[in-house]
Amino acid sequence: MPTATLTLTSADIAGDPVNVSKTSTCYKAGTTVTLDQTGGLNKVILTTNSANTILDAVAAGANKAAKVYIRNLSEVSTEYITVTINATKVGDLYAGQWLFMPWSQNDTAADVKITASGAGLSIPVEYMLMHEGWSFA
Amino acid sequence: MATTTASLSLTNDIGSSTATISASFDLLKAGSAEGMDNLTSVKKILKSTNQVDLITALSTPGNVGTADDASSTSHNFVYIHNASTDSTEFITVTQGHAAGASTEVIIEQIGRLYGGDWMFFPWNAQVTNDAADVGDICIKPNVATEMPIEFMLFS
Repeated sequence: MPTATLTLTSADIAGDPVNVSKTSTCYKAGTTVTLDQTGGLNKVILTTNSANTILDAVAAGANKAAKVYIRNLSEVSTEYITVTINATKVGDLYAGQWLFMPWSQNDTAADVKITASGAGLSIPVEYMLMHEGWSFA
Repeated sequence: MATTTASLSLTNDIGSSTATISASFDLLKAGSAEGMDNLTSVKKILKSTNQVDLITALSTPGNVGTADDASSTSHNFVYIHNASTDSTEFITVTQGHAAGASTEVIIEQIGRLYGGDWMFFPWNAQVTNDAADVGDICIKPNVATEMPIEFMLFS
């Protein structure tokens, strides 16, 4: 079954060590039935600093369960990508950083887009979507 | 300098071939080699269906999560976990502002976390309306039962 495990560790950010480990199974909304559709693992190279749509929101996905993984594969510490939903900034991912988040697609404008931190760069990015609620029938 | 590591192990066996992803990184300040050195860790029990500010953007420019400065380059990571054991219970995570049932401001909905779900994402406290302080991370439960929510802010 599709699962995601997060581990957060630090020996010195607080007075006591931080150790967090959470595993969640990726279920359909409000059920214990696992997600059954995926866009697979994708890799793109960002070369312009304009917004690029990587996930296109659709009405059939509205408020269904969807999980998004995005990772900046750059090895240059100053290079980042900006992640937006419906043009609202979620945050920046610097080299090596990733995010894992749900995606509601609560309207069809809620596309997930990424933008490179500058023009003329070559930033490799990988992403993956696991979801329900799309039908091609 | 503190060292904090975030690791992800992701298994996608939805298709006929399994995709397995393992990714780790140290939480560094924006564009630097210096580790994030601030931590906020909170557990809340939510008892209403009101939208509430989970992480409130601060009002002093230059501080973590500054919402008064639209050009802020603050770089933070947020972990949110719905610790409910009921798969039908969820919180809706948005960017916006909340001060009670009648003052919900939603700039954009990110997604829903059902019981057991977690998310980990960067947060710049980006704002579109300084007057409304709408750079907050807000959550809204779907039920008024006692729903446990955990979050951590690294900055």
